[in-house]
Amino acid sequence: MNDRFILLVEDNPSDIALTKRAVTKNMASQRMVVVEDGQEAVDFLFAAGKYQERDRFDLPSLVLLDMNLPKLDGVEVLRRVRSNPVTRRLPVVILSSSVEERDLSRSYDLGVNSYIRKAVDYTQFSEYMKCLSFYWLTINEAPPTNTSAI
Amino acid sequence: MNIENILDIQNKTVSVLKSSVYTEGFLKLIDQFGVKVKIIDKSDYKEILQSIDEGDVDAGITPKIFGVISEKKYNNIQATNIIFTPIKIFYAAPKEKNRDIIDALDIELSRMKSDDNSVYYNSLNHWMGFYKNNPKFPIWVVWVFGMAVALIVFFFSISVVLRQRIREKVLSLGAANERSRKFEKAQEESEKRFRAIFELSHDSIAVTQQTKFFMVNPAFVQLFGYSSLEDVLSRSVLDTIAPREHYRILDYIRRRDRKEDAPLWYKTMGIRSDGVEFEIDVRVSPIVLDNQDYTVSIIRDNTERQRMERQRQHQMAVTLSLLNLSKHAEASDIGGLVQFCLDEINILTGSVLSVIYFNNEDQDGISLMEWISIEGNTRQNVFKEYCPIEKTGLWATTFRHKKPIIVNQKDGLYLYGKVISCLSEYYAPIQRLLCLPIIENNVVKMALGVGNKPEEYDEDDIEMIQIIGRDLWKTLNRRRAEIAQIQSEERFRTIYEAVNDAILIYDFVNHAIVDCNSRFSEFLGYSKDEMIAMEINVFSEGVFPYDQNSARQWIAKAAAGAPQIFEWQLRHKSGEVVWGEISLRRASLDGKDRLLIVVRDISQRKDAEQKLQNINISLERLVSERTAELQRANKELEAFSYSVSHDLRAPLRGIDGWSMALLEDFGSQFNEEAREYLNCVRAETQRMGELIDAQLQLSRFSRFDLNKSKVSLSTLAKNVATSVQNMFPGRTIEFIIQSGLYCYGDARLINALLMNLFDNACKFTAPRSVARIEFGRTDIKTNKICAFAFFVRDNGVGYDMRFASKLFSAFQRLHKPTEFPGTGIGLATVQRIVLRHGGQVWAEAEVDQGATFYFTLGEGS
Repeated sequence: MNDRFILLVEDNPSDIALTKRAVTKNMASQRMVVVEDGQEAVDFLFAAGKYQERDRFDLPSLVLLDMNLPKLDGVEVLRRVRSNPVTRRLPVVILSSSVEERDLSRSYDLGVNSYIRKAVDYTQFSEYMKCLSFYWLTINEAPPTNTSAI
Repeated sequence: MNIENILDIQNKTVSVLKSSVYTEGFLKLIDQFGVKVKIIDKSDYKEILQSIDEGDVDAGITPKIFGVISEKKYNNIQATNIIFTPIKIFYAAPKEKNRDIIDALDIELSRMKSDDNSVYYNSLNHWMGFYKNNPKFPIWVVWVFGMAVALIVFFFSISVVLRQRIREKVLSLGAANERSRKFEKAQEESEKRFRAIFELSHDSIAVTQQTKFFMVNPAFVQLFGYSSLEDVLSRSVLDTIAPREHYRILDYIRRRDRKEDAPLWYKTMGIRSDGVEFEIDVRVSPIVLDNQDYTVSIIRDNTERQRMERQRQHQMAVTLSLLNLSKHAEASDIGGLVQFCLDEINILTGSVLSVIYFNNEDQDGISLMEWISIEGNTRQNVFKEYCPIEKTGLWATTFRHKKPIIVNQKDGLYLYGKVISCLSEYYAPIQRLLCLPIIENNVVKMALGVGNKPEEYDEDDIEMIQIIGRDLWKTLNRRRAEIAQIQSEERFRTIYEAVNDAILIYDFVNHAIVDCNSRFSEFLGYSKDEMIAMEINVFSEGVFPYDQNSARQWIAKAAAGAPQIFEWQLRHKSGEVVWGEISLRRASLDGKDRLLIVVRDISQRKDAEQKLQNINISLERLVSERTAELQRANKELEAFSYSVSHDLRAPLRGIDGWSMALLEDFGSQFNEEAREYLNCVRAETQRMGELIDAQLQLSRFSRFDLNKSKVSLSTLAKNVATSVQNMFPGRTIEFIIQSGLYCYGDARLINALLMNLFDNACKFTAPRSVARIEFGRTDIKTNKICAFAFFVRDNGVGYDMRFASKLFSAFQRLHKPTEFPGTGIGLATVQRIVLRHGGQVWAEAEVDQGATFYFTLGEGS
């Protein structure tokens, strides 16, 4: 289980730091990979571009996906993840400042596993991260890796 | 002068016909009587008679037949008793040849002259009367001889005769008695017969002596209208004769007394016991009874015969009038006809004036026309004003009783009240009047009147006027109908020509244009004659669907009986295309199947339609442009909201996060005050986050599309109350919600509206131990727009109405946040929602006395 990691897709360095801080505060040993835009996230997951050396079946246990991203936005990333047979079953949680109905419905329609609003209150945010990590990495049974898929 | 015998012409002048046998006879005659006259020769008898008549001569000689005739023919000629030229026989024989005949005649003449009793003397005696044969013996010899012979004979025979006479007398006495009895009996029977004839005769018979009635028969009593025979016998004959005729009777009596010739019959005027005069024929015969002179008069009433005669004349006159009327009818208008008719009845009845009134339909007044003709001058007076029938005096009676009325006495006119108020009496003072109604179907149609006839009006006048009147009424009706027909035709012709629609009559069997109105030729620019000569399909614009073939199809459909209306492009003579709305309808005209084609010029309409279409197109373009702008603005707004929600919140989150990190990681290095400051930074940051959220929510309510439906406000309010109550645990909140309230609106927005209002009410009732929040509907008077409003009333702290204007503005608060928490966005949201529904919201409150929020939701709520 050591190789299990969380992929954080976030462009705001402040948010990256605070998120990392909130996650590692509870689970210090938890590995986190951070990519800073949508394209990079997709390349990472599909072992493409600068990540083409990567094992395309080495997928994170959880993807924390920001909505507002440079190049490809969160929804587009989600759409590509869900449309690729390898990454299709990947647990993806969207972290967003927005609770716009439009964003919520598009995300759920694309099969997001959870949608968390980033609260301004950091205490509250920290608590959410704790619950989230615990739930997805500990409680939840991870989906099997779909190796049959090309 | 009176010439009784030949001596009377002594020394007179006498005209004679030159060298005539009569003249010769006359000259011989006067010579015989020793009469001397002055002879005037004339060439014929006419001249003779004229000369006597003119008094040039005292007498004249003519054949007797001339005399008798001339006595009647010339006023001044009287036949005399003098007749001459008895018989004068002329014998003619050839000279020297028939000596024997002349000798024989001479002998014969001598023989006749020698015999006193010969034809010769008899003739002379007969014709001349005074001629005596010259005696052959002295007259006394004859007388003496005669006497002597007579005496001898007398005495010789007297004894024989006397004896014989006595015997005869004795024998005849018996026979005489017998004869006398027979005679008496015959006398009696004769008298009986005579009396029966006298009594039963239809002719009136009177036996009179001088001026006294001796005897009259019952027919006489009846004719003269007396009650009994005695009544008649007690009167003078003159009582039965009109006074102006008395002279005739008296003259007759005088002539009889003088034994002069008296007429055997005469006409005169009888007078009845009631004073009525009547014409009679009288035939008189003088008789002698018991040695006294009487006169038998047979009197015949002439009235009936005269009446019949008059009637016959009237009938002829009426027939002539009717004939004139019918001739006149064809050429006259109504006025002329009435005028003519009035003149006719004036002539027929011998009246001076005549009048016609027409009754109105309701029969309750004369309101139409008065025509009055006075001695040939007809005037028409039109009564513009309605004249009630009861004010028309005599005419009212005519109309009401439907019977003719004759008023022959002027005074009688005034029996009918304010007489003839309709009759313009000032034209001619009315002396006598006859008026009668002309009745049709028991309704008085008009009244005819005539007046001022010199004689009295009678039944004949009524009859004549009635006949003429009835004929006039019939003729008038016929003429009116004819005139109406003509007017109707004219009217239709005018309409046909003046109507704004173009009309064409088409013979669809022979494919020919029969007629078109002037509007049609105007419409297409052809003259009527040109049109009629043209083929109808030529008028079509020519290009499908307005081509000739399509036109034929339309016509065929209409000819089959189904009326067609369609819009069509036609081609004007100038080549210009004009729009027409065409109506095709099959119709029977003059008994023939035709197609009635009515074309309405719709070029202007078509222009207008085109313009309207252009305007619509530009409007639509404008709308879509505006819509696009609006959509763009909405998109921008959305993008703005989106970026606010993401981009503005992220830094806040950072501030809060790093403040927290600072506190957590380096908290021990800060003193208490510094830590409190950091907490303040976090609190303000979070509050800004809340404000951004609130602003986003508010904008979200503005952006939502309204999805209106019928909403049960009561149910919604109950649900909201429950959830609001849960937001304030530990509080006692009493909700009073009126049931059965509905509105028309967007359920989600109205839910938010109630949520905000209820939340607001809960908040401001916090100090109350029992909060009471009431929701319901109320009628409102102050508001001009709605008759009722919904309200939410609480028993909370209320507020000062001076600040009411700030109530619904976003982020405006009337209370300190420490007192009552909130963003100040609640009532702004409420107002936004109400405005989006087209309603209004307002509040009433007082400090510490609670507040009431009213709202309406526009139409349909």
